[in-house]
Amino acid sequence: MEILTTDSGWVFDEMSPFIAELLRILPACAAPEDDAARKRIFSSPTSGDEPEADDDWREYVEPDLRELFKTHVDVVTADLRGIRASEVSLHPGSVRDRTVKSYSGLLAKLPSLTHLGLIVGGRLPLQPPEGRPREDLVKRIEFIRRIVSELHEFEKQRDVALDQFLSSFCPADGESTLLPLSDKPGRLLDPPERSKAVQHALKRFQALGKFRHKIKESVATGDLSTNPQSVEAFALSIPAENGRAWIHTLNQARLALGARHDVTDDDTAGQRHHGGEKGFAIMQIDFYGMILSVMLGRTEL
Amino acid sequence: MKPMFAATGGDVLTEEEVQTEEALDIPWNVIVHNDPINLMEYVSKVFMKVLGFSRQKAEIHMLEVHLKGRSIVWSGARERAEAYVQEFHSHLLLATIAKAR
Repeated sequence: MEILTTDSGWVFDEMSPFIAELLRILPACAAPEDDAARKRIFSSPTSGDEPEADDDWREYVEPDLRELFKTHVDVVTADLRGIRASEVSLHPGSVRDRTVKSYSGLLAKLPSLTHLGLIVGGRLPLQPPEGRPREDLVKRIEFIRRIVSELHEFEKQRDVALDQFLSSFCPADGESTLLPLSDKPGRLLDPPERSKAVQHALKRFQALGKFRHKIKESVATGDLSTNPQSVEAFALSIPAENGRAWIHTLNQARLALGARHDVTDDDTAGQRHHGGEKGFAIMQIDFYGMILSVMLGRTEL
Repeated sequence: MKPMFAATGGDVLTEEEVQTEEALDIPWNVIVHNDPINLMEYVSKVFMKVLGFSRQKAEIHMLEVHLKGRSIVWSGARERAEAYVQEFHSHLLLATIAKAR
C-alpha cells in the first residue's frame, strides 16, 4: 500500500484486497453499538463522581456528540464507496514514478553506461505484449508490475554493476575513458565486438524506454481502465476537506476496538502478543493509527 | 463545608455569606486522563486547538497525561470547564471536570 499526499488530499494506492477490506470495515468498527465501545466513546464527564451531572450530560450533551460523530462517519462511509481498482498510474512521487524517473536518468547517461547495460541486460528478460492492444487486463497489470519490479532490480544492480564496470575498465595505456572497452577484467574488446556490444546494450535500453512509454500511453488511453472484478490492487482518493472526518472516524474506530478488546498500554507498546480476535484488533488499531498519523500531518482539527 | 466562623446567636447571615463567597472562589479543574489508544501527537494537537496552547505547552501536558495518567489542563469557572470537557469529548479524549481541592 502506498499513501500519496497530494494538493487535493490523499490517494491510497496499491492496496491489497485485505487492506481494502480493513478500510471498508472502518465505519462498522467505529460504531458505538456495544456497551464497551459506547462507554468509551461517550465517557462520563465526572468519572461517575456526580451521577446527576452525568444524567444531565447524557440528556443534553450526548445527543449532540452522537450527531457530530455520525456526521464524520457518514463522510468516511461515502468516501469508501469510491474504493476502486488501482489504475497502475504514475502519480507524481509514487514509488513507480520515482523508479521511472530514476530509469529516465539512466537513459540520459546511456553513452557512458552501455557496458553496464550488457552486464545488467541479461537480468531483464522483458517480453512486451504485442499486437493485442486490449489484452486481458490482469495479464497486462501483471506485466507492468513485473516491469516495475525489474526496474527496481535494475536500480539495485546498478551500483554493483557500476563497480564491476569501473574495476574492469583498465586500458593498457592507463588512460581513463568511458567507452565500453572490456567485458571482463584485463580483456579489451575488439572493435567489431565492441560495436556489437554497444548495439546490443542500446537495444536493451531502447526496449525498456518503449515499455515505459507504453505504460504511460496505456494509462492515458484507458487501456488499463478499472475492473474491480479482475484486479487485485485497489485505490481510494480522499479529498483534503474530508481529513477531519477521517481523523475522527479512524480514532473512534481505534478507541472502540480498544474498549471492546480491553487493550492496554502494554498491548499497544507491543510488549504483549495476542492471537485471535484481540491480536487482529490490535493490528487494526495500528493500521488505522498509521493512516491517522499521515493525515494528522496536514489537517487542522 | 466547614464554616469559617462559628455561628453565634443571630449571626447566621454572616456564615451564609462566607460560604457563598468561598464556593465561588473554588475553581473547577479540567482533567485529561490517559488512555492506551490515543496518539500522543493527536492529543497535543487537541490541546493546541481546544485550549490554544503553544506546541511546547501542549506537549508538556500530553507527556504528563502519558506518564502520570492525568493532567489538569485548565482551572476556572464551572460553566467554562464543562464547555472544555465537551470539546475534549468531541475529540474523543477522556476528560472530566472536578472541583479543585
